[in-house]
Amino acid sequence: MRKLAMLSFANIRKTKGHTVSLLLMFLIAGLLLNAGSLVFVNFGSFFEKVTKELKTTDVYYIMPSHLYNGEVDKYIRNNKNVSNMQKEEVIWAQASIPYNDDTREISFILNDADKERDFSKWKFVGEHLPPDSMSIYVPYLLNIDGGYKLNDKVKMKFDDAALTFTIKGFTEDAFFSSLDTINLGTYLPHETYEKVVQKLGDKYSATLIFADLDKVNNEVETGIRELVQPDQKATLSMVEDTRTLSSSDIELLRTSRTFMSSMASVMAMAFAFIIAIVCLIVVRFRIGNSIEEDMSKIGSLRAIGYTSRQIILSIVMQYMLIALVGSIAGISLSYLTTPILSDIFAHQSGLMWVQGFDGAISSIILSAILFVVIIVSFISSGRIRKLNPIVALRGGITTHNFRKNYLPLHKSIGSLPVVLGFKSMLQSRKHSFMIGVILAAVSFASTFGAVMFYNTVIDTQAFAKTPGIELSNAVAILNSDAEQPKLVDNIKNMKNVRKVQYIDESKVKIENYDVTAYVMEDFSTKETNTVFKGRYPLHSNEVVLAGILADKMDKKIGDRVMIKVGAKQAEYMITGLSQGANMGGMNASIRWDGILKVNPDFKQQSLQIYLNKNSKADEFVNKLESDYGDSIVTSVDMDKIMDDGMGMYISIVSKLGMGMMVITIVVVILVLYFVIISSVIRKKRELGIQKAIGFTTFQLMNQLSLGFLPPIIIGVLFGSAVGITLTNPLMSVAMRAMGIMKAQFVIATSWISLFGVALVVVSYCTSMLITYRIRKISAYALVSE
Amino acid sequence: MSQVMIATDKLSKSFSSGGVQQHVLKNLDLEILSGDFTVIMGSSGAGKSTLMYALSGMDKPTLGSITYFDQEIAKLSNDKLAVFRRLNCGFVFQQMFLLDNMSILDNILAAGLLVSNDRKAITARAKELLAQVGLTELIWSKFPTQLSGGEAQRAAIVRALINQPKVVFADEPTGALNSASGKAVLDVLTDLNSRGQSIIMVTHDLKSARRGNRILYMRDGVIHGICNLGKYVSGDRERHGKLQAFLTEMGW
Amino acid sequence: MSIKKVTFLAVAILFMGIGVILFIFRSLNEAGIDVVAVNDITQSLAEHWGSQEQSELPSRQYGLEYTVLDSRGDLVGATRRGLSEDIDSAIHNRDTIVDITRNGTVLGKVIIFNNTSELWEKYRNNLLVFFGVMIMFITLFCLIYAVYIDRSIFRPFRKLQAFARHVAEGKLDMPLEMEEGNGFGAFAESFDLMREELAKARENERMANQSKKELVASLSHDIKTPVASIKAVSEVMILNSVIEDDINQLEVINSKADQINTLITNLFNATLEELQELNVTVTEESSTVLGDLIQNVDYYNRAVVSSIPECIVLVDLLRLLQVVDNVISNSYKYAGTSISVSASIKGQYLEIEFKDYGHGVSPEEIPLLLNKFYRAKNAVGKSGTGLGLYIAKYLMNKMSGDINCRNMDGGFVVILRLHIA
Repeated sequence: MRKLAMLSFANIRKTKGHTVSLLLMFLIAGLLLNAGSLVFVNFGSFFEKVTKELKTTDVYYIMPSHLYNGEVDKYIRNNKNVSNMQKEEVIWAQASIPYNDDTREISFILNDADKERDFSKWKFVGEHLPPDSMSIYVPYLLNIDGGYKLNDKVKMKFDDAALTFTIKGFTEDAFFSSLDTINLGTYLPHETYEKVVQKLGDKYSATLIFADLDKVNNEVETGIRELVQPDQKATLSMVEDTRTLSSSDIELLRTSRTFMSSMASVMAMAFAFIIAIVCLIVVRFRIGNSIEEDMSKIGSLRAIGYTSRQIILSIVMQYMLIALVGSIAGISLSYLTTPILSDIFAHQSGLMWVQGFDGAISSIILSAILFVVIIVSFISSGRIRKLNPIVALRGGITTHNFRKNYLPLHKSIGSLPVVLGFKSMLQSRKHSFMIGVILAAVSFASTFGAVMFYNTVIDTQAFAKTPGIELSNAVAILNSDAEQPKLVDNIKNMKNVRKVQYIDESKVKIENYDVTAYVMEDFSTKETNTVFKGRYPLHSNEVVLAGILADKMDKKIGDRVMIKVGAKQAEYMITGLSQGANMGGMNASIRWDGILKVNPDFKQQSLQIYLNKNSKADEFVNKLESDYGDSIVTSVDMDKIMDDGMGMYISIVSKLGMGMMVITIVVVILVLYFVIISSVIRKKRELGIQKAIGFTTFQLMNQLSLGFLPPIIIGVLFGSAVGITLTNPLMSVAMRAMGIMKAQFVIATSWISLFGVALVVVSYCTSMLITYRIRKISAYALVSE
Repeated sequence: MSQVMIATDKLSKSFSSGGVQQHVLKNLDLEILSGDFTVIMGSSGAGKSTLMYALSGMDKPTLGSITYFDQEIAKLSNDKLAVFRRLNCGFVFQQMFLLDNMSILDNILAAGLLVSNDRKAITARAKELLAQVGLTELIWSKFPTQLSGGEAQRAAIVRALINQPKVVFADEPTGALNSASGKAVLDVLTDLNSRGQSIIMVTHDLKSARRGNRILYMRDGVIHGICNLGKYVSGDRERHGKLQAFLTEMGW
Repeated sequence: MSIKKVTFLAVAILFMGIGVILFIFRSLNEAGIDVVAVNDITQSLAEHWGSQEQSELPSRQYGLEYTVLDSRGDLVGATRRGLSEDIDSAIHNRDTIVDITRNGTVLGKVIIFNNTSELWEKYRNNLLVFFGVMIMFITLFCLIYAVYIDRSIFRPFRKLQAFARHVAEGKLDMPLEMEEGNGFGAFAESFDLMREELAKARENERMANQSKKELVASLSHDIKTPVASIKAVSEVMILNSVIEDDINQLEVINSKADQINTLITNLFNATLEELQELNVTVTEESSTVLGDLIQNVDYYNRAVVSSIPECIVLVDLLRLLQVVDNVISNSYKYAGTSISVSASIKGQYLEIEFKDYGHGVSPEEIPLLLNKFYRAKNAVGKSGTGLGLYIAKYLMNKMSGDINCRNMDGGFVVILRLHIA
């Protein structure tokens, strides 16, 4: 055994350059695989752990205290579905606070920090300081994303009052820690809380109910809603309202808080997998080559009495050692990346993810890599067994080698280095094939990255559309009493307005599911097409369901569903399925004349305003407010909301995309390094002869590099083509859980081809750079040997 | 009548190994005439191959200059030397050094196309030369490993001639051949020389040396003696005797 | 083609074939009616009931053919002629009948034409064409394959037949011609190799016979010659011989023996010789090192060294350094001007000139300068032993070189001569 180890070490020492680059490959593979699976497996369950630790209940309901009467209380307490509940008195108010360099309007829940809770507790994240006067503990999100630090002052501007607090700590609670989950929870020391209550009065006092349900559904919510809001007016989810019931359950929370990480981890996993495969192909190739190069050495080992088993074992050991060291380094490094990933994800999730060492995942990945390497090296060194020692000593040449003389020079056209390059490419088909396959895999992965990058940084339209929201520039909620047609005309004639149309939301019940229906007069004027199968409704008896909803109801296009509002109901035919995770996928689209059938009182109120390109939505909203403030309930700058909402997604995905592209280039360079170095070594004699008869170094460099170019180009073309055609379907699969059934990312062919060209150019330059070592091969050394 | 083709001035070549300098060529002042069949002889280690490769621009001398007609080549860059070689020199090596991954014809064209872009003309010339050295069409498309040593060496000679070099350098061209194929190769070289092709050949084989008309004998990095003979004529006993006497004098 | 490749190809063709068939037959299960389309038709008809001309029947894009009847059963319109125009014929044709309703009242009926039989016919035609093309392809493929087999197997065999005949007839110089890129080549090539080997074997046999004869002849000659002591016989033969060539060669033998003798004598003498105090070890050095050497001892940077011709000289670098140091420091001492150093090759020597621009030495003193303990007149008041140039000369001579001095227009020149190797 010691002899074998010696052999392995000697081999490693002899091929230092190769060993280092192999190590690097394994490092990359280990790093990506481990980081990817850590996020994939642990990030979700980390959230789970947090909720368990905080004894988070299944749902919460919050409503202004004046709505919470005895009837409601009795309803909840007596509901069979509610297994336990807890009632808290809190302050619930919309406030705007500075957020980074911006101000944001957020619904805050101000809790009394000193009141003990049995359920849905909260905890500190990181350091916190003892309270003094006007102290506040705010969600971790305000630290990581909002840019606040300990002891910073935060000024909350309410409708009619403003309060300034000093931040003394950052908190985590399951329900109120992310901007994606509507309400943000802050915690005030009792003393401060009392002061605030005094200052704000009863206006904002609210009742917060935490409850565990036997069966998690929104039946209880509907019940409460019927009690507190018997008139069932249309509510607008876009405008967060602290005047009526708000509710959320833990499932919804999980999807919205771990949405980004799961998407990212799927992407990272896929990428890591591709790169790992590429690494293994290279390893396989490397082993095959080293056997070829060391043929005579193997022969002499055989001749002095080593069995082929021993030699194979020494080879396997050599690569196993490299793989072991490389992947352990990679896996260790990946633990360093988890805080970075955590920080990136925290912008969206508000969750401080602390990843300790996960022995199970890491050892699975380590042993998987080792296993594959061992298998691969066993298989590729298997031919040693068949090797006759004498043949091996002679350098592996057995008999006459009948090859085809590709591209005979007297018939071919083109410059000499080009033809010779192609010649050698055709002769080493295995090589070329491998390069092609690797480049295809890598460029597929990078196309994926490029698409992500393009859609998040260059042209965010498609990315913004992905969740299925209509992309208008501003929304005005019209006062239902106002004289609407005239007002709409006026708004339409305002400067820079390109188009206006109503898109309303209405709560309806479809086959016992509470669903938000989007209502439009004519869906053909909608700008964001979210229907991925079928078509939008054209008639009053047609409806489009969200894909998730249709799955839940087990309905398909052409089926009929019963839609109910209050007591009225009517039958509708499903004409299409839409995507988008809005309302947790519980949404539908109905024509205006369709909703009138079940809700004759329905009024169109929410006017989407589309502005001309390059006009500023914030200015427009200000003007709108000043001109028609009386007839408008509220107006919203959609551009800003989109930007705020998109910002974090964009930063995360663009970073991922960038990372992928960078890793791609690194891998390509590494692969080329391998292939080219070994082929230069193999062709040393030929290159020497060519030098002797008058080839210049540059010609030879070109000849070698050009020989690699066709498989590189073919590989890149193929990989990019697959990337172009498969990115959207793959993303659709990856994001299916998020309600995105048909991803429609812009596949910027020009960008991808640009990147492909860049890849080819980089490859060519790299190979020119690497082949520059040909200058050291002297013709004289060859002849004087 | 014949012109000075290569002139060297204090040509020296040193190798240093482990800090010790070893001078393989020392202050050679040498003139080689065009049209000559120059043979460089000497015991092994005398520096004859080093001299030949320095003269041919394959290797750079340490000191001194080499003037090739009017061009000074000792100080050229590697790439310039490569261009120089492809234009002016043809090489025939002991181990042939044909490219194993190409057919014979391609081997020759790979050299020929370096200089000329006229594929047709070069191909025609290659075929003509191949026929001239007695290689039949059947062999043209074979790979070097499929040929006998003599055939391969003749192909190598064709490769050396394809660019109409001013001089052909031959390094022990018969060293790896049996006597029959060696003779054939020598015949080809002699024939070429009789048509005016300058040849510089390194050998330590008497049979090969006989073909030359100017014998340089090297010892310890200097030209120890020069023997001018007439052009080779088969079976000229007197000429042979003179050469033998010269070599005896040189201590061969 | 190896069996692996053939299998691979066959599998590839199989999958491609299956793919094509699946592609052709993909539209089979679209025989049902698109419910959504029907809804669109009836709703559109209902919305525009009565206000519409027959010719503008809605939703033609679905490709459905239909007839519209009013509530009395009268024909309102049809997408084309020849459809079922009343309920009974519709039922007969298994058409789909849908009510047109608005606000609960039935306005009329839509009869969606059941075109299954047409579909079948179209489908059958498609199938026919497809199979026709398919069979043509297969036939073509078979033909190509047959030609391929003929070219790659049968034709070489025919050639082989002729070849075998030639070999049998003993015509071993007729090669077997092969086509480029023939998969059969390896096989045929071995036959050709066999022919070559046969021819070679024959030639070898002939040669072996010949050399055997020669060996016997020369051995018989050699055995006749007596073996004797080289020196004695050669001396005797010198005396006896009259042929000049022989005498010369014998003298060579003689002189070589003498040479050995001399070598031993030399070796003997060498050990006896006393070691000199100033030991000079001459080596061959490149002249390029001289420039550096001069710079090394030129402490005041007064020397201007012009280019030194490249050659290899016999020199002891350490001793030469000593000499040059002496020359340059003399110049500092007596002249104090700049020194121009130039070198040239003169015959077997590399001459290095050190020229300063001082007053020089009076001409009569020059021959004495190199003598032991000689100090020139201008040396009065300057330190020195008068040994420097004497030692320099000694050292230079040991390097088989020389040193010379003379006055030259407005200066003093020292010339070092180094022997070229």
